[in-house]
Amino acid sequence: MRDKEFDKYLEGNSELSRLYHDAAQLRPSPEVDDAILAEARRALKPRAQAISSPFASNWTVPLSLAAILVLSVGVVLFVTDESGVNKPTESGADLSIMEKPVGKKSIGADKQYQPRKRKAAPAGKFDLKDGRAQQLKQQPVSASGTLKSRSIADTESVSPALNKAAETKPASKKSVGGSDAQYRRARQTKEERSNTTSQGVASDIAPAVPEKKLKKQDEALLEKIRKLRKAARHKEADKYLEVFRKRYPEYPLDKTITR
Amino acid sequence: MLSKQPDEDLMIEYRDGNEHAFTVLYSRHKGGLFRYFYYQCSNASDANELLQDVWFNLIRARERYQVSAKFTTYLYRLAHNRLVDYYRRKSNSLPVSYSDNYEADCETLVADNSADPEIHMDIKKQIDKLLEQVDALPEAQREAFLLREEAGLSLEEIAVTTGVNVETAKSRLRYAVSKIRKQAQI
Repeated sequence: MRDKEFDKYLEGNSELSRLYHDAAQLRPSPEVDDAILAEARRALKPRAQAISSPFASNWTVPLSLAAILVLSVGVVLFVTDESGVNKPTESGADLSIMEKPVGKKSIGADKQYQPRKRKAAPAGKFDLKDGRAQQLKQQPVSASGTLKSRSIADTESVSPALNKAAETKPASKKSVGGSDAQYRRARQTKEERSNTTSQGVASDIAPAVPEKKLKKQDEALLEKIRKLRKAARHKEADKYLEVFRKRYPEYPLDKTITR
Repeated sequence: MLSKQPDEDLMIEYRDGNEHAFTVLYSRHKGGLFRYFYYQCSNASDANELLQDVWFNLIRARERYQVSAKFTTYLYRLAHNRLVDYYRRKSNSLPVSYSDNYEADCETLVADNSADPEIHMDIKKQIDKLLEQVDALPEAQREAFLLREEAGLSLEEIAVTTGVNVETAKSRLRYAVSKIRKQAQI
């Protein structure tokens, strides 16, 4: 074959090429066509899903890091806050309370105020061991007690350990109920004491009963002062008034007595 | 219009998710690629299988596709590699025609055949004869001819596609064209 003929073939439009393309009509089978086009379609689907997904691979790593960071900071802050709250309770007087659990020794003689678990005792009927408690045991507790005038001084006079326990114990429902019952009982004990003593000697005893409940002898005393005022015997009246004031310093008196 | 876009643009569009671009690309090249395999294997079933393998490989490799050469060169390079695998699996070696000096050894034979008397044949007979001659060509020469006719590759592109130098590619094609012309009296 000459180079000229070959160059003409390479330029195209040769008779050989034309005849070949007229003859070559073969095509792949339709099944192969379908398989290839289906594969091309299938290959694009995961890619489209990955792009449309809100948690595509581009998002997962930064999102995970952000979540870990937020959780870590949250835990650190929480732990810091917790340690800050616990610090005061772990120091000073509170620490001594923690070291002495509320038991027989810490309450001491006032352990009788702890309600028993083996019996559901009715209100005001605790099993008390000392003499005062025995006395209380015999006297029912009035529901209409004098809780309005309840003060820290009263409770301290009854039981310092009780006050301590009331300060340190958490205000759970059970402990609150127990404290109220204990307070009522202590209050009543104090009233009883003052009553028994005031019946004997009228002087040198601080008034523990309310002002409205004057004893008959005191009412007689007031009546006597009033008569002395009317009779213009003021010196004697002042003397009796002084005695009365010692008993009832804040009892309201009218002008016929005070002059 | 996708049908007027170059092959390279269609392949990039398919890489980026346009399914229709692939359909256009496939319809352009499915016939030529099928015939490339068909004439090399002389078996429609094998040709269909090889064709499917090549397109599947193209689909899997789409994300790595970069326009560094003509798409046709890229496609037929894949086809050539698959064909070489096919030959090696079938006979554990490449056909003799793929040896470097095969065309030189056969040159005399072709020249001898050119001494045949002039026989005028009608066009149909010419076509049948042509296809017979294509089928009768040695594999390497036939491949060069098919790459030229079916894919429209230049000598340089045929050389790149088949992994040989340009002279070898030219020699193979020249041998194929000369033999067909003489045997088919074109």
